[in-house]
Amino acid sequence: MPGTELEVKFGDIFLGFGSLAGIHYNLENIIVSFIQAKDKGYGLGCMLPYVQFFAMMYASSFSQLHSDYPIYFIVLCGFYLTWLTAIFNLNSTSGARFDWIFFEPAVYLLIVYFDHAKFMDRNTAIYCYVGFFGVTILRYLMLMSNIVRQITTNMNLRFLLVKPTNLKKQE
Amino acid sequence: MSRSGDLTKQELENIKAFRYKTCGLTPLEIYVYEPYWNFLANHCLPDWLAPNALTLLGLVFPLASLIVICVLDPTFTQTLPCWVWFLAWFSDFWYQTIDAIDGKQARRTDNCSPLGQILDHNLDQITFTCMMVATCSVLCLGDDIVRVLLITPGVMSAHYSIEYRTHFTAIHQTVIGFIGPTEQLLLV
Repeated sequence: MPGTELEVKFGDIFLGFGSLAGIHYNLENIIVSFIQAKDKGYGLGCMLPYVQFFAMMYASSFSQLHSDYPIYFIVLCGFYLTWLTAIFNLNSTSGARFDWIFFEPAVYLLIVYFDHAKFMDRNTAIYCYVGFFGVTILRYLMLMSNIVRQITTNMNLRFLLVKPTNLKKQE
Repeated sequence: MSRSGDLTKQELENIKAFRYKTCGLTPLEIYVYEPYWNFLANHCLPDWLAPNALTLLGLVFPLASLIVICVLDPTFTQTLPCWVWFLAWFSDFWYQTIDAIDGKQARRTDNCSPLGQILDHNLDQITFTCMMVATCSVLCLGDDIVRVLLITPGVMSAHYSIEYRTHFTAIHQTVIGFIGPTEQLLLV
C-alpha cells in the first residue's frame, strides 16, 4: 500500500470486499426484520443463537488443536449452524414460534475451556469434539427424516419420486 | 415444534397452506443465468427425475470438495494442486445450477411442495459450510480467527440472517440491491 509498509495481497482485497458485503447483507436482513418484529424481545431472542454461533467460532481458536486442524472447527460449527437454521426454517414454515434457547453452545464452550486449560489431553479433547459433531449430525438427520416422514404422510407426497401427471413445459 | 421435529396437527396444516414468497431476480440472473437455467430445465432434465432427488444431487460435489480439502489442507496453509481448485469451482457452479433448476423441475413436473422448499434451504446451509472451507483454503487463512470471522457473514452464516428475515416478514429475501447469492457465488 503506497505510503505505508503494509503489503496488500489479492486475497486481502477479496477478504475486505467479501466481509463488507457480508456484514452489510446480514445487518440489513437483521435490522429490517427487527423493525418489523411485533415482539421486540422475541426478535432479540431469535438473534441469540446467531451470536452463540459466532462465540463458538471465536472460542474454537483457543483450542489446543485449532492451529493444527482449523478446518474441522469450521466444519463442526458449520454443521451446528445447519441444524440451527433447519429448526428456524421449519418454525417459519409451520408458523410456530422459534424456541431460541439452546444449551449446546454452552456445552461446546465448556469443552473448549477444558481443552484450553489443559484439564484434558489432546486425545480426550478430540473425542469430545468428535462426539459433539456426531451428536449434532445425528440430531440433524433425525430431525430431517422425521420432518420428511410427517410431511409426506400428511400431504400424501412422494419424496424421491415424481407423481404421475401431465408435464407443464415452462416457457 | 420440538427440536426432534415432531409437528402438531396445526403446524402440519400451516405447512400445507404455506406459500413460498421470494424477491425478484438480479440483472445477472435475468440476462445471463435464467436463459441457461430454463434451457437445462426444459431440455436436459428427464421427466422421471424428482425435484427433491435433484436437490440432493446438488450436494454431491460440494461434499466431495469438502472431503478433498479436509484431507489435503486441514491447516489452510498448503498450496493445493489445480484440480482441487477446479473441483471447488465446479462444485460451486454445480450447486448454483441445481439450486436454480430444482424449482423449475418441480413446477414442470407439477411436484411443487413445501417439503421441497424445506429441503432446498437445508441443503443450502450445508453447501455454504463447504464453500467456507474452500474459501479459507484459497485465501490460506491458516488459524487466523479474525480473518475467518470476517468472511463468515458473507460466506457461511448469511443464510441464518435470511431465515431471520423470512420468520418476521414471511418473504424469503435473498437479493439486496443488485447483489444476491448468484453474484456472491460468482465472486467466490
